[in-house]
Amino acid sequence: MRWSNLQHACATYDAAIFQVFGDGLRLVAQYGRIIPTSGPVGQVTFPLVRGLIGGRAVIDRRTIQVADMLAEADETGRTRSNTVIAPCSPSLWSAPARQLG
Amino acid sequence: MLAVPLVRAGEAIGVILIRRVEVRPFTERQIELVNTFADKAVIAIENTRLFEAEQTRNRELQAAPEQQTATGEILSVISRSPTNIRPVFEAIAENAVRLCSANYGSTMRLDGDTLHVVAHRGHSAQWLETVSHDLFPRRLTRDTFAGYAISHREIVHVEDLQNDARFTDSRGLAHTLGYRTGLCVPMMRSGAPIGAIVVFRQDVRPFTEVEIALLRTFTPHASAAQPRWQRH
Repeated sequence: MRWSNLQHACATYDAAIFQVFGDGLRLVAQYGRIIPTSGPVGQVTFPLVRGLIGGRAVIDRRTIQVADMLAEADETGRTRSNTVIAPCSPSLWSAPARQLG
Repeated sequence: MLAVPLVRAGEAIGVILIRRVEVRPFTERQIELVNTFADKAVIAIENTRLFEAEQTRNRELQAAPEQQTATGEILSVISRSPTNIRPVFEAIAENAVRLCSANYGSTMRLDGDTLHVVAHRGHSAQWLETVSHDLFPRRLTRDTFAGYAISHREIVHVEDLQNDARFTDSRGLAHTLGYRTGLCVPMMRSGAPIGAIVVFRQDVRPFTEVEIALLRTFTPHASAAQPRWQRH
C-alpha cells in the first residue's frame, strides 16, 4: 500500500512515519506537512515520551485516536489562539499529554 | 489524529501518525487499514535493516584479507627495522591511505608536548613545503584536528574540515591543501598518547565504520615500535 492509497482510503490531510532512534523518535517519512519543521526528513527528532501522542503509542504499543486535538490542547492548558494560528504546530502535535485514554 | 505503533517482534520500533484538519474520527475500518499499512512498513524497515547489515558484513569480509595483508606488512617492517620507527610509520601511513580509500595520510609522533610528522602518503610538494617545513614540529594544541584527538585520546572524524568551526587551524590548512573529510586515530601506550594516524579525503565522504576499525588495528603496531625508537 502506498502513502497516496492510505491517504485516499482514510481521507487524511497528512501523515508521517517516525522511527524509534535511541531515546527519541526520528521523522523518516512524511506525506503532507503534519510536522512543520525546518529540518529535512531524517534529521527531525522528538523525545520518546508519553506526553506526545506518537510517543505514547510507541510506549504503550497501542493505537491511539484523538478526536479533537484542539479540544485536547485546551484541556492541557495551551491557549486556543496558539493552536488556531498554528494549527499543525509541534505544540499541538504534542498537546494531548494527560487526556489520552 | 491517529497514532499507530510499528511493532516488530513485540517491540515498538516506530509510529505512524495521520491527521485530519476537521473533527471527524477515523472509522474502525480505516484504523484497520492503517494497521495493515503499519505491518507492511515494519516489513520494509526490517528488510532495509537486513540489507544494510548484509552490506556491512560483505564490506567487513572484503576488508579482512586486506587488513591481514597490511598487518603482515607492518609486522614485517617492525622485525626488519628494530631500531628505526620511520619505516614502520611509513608502512602504516601507506596502508592507512590505501585501505581507507583516502587521498592523504600521515603518521605523527608526540614528543613531550611537540607533535612531529614522521611519515606521509599522497601529499604534494606543496604539502611538504607548507606542512613539513613550516608547521611541524609544532606544539600540541586542542584547536587542531590531530591535537584535539591526541589531547582527548579519542578518535575524531570530521565530515568536512573546511567547514568545521571546532578546528580553526585545521580549517585554514584544509582550504589551502584541499582536505575535506578527515579521520584521526590517536596512538596510545600505557594509557598515554604517543602520536596519531590521520587520513584525509579530497571530497566530503565520511569514512565507514569498517575503515575506522581498520585504522584502529594499526595503532598497536606503532605503539609496539615506539619504545625501540625511543631507546635509540
